[in-house]
Amino acid sequence: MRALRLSALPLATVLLAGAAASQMTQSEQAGKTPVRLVVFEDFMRPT
Amino acid sequence: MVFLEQHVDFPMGKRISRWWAAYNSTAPAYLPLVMVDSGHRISSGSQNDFKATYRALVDAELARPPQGEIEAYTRRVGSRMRIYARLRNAAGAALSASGNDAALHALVWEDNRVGVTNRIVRAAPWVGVSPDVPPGGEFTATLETSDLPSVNWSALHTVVVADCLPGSGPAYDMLQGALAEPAALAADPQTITLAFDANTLEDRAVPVRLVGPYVLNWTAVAGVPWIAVTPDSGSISVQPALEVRSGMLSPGWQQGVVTFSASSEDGMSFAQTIAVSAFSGPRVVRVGTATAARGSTVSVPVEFSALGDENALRFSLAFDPAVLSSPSVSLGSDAGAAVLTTDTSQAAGGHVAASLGLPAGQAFDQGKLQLVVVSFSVASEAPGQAVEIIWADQPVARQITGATGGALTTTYLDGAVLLADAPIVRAPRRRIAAGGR
Repeated sequence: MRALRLSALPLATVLLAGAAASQMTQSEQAGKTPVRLVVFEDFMRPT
Repeated sequence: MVFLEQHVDFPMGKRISRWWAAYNSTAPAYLPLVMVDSGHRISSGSQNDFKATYRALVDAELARPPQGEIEAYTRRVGSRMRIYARLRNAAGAALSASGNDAALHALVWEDNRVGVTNRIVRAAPWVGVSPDVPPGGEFTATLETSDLPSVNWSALHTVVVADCLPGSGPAYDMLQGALAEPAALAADPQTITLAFDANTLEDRAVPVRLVGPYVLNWTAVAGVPWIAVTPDSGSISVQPALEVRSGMLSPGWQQGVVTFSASSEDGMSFAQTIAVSAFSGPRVVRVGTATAARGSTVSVPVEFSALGDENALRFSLAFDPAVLSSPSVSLGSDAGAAVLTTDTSQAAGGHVAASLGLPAGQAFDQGKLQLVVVSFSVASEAPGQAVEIIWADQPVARQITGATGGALTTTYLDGAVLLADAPIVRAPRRRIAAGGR
């Protein structure tokens, strides 16, 4: 069983992480056409 | 890049195992768990600056060249998504499910705010790469999700990724990813226009690129006898060529259509057409006929009936220096980007030469073009009713060069200046020089 700790991560932080990833995605798509298609995977637990 | 969210308690496929492999620790891990390229780089827990941390992960991956090529297509089958994928191994080592846990994953996501972001993975079917695929080899697979109830199908997308354990450390690495397209058959080019020199009648072959899901097989039917498709059937990896048989063309323009039909054993069926336009006629360069009064100047156009594959012309014109003098050559209205060079060193002897060239690799448009205009002074005491302007090879030998190099066959037609107070005596002569010129 994997050990996950959520206690140090309140909802506001989860939302911040998600927003940061989404914003970064948009700017990367607009500015670059990479040869490598980078896949960014985010495992979260919405509360 | 592609950003995807999964619920950490209900992960799809084997993706989260890639994160744990890279983490490689029994210490507690803090959410969110983030990875790029199957765990080649990871992050977890709260960050002082999420955006900067995540950007650094992505930028580092963008700087790496891919180690594979993936072509993927999707198709809805009932309430499931079926994915057709082709992977070419561009890594230096073989891909092997048993050797380095190489696998192909289809990450099917929905643009929908289910969790925290606007994207949520709905399914992640995968398949191990087996049998082994050596460097340069190909692996094909059909993946399928389980039933996907309650999803907005118009908001579903799929990215296919290939990963493996590269052998240096516990983390997996992604070779490459590719966004899947809706299953279809595509043919490139969709239109073909060719012009044939009726003096030589050489057949022409045009390669065609067919692309689509790897399970497709195709057949081709040409609607006109002057087009042949070789081969006329095959798997989607077999690329045909359209051969235009110039000897069967009628003079002028004609149109034909080639239809490619493709199908698969699992029920796909597509068709694509390629429209072919072909022109057959001689390549002709002609000196025009102009009328002028004695003692005036006259401009004589040089017109070119081009087939569309010519890059440069050079020629000499001969004339009676007792009637015409002081020749000058200027670009015509259809010369485009061509550069003109003239040689009037033998004008006193009745010769003028010009060279007209486009930049390398370019060709004149197909059709009738006015390339240059040659102007002369007409003697005030000129005898006769007309003076000929004929093609010559001094001081410059005549030649037309193709855009791909080499001399092209051409018919040269002479012209004349009619002296104003005299009726037309006869039409210009048609000359075809030895060797088809």
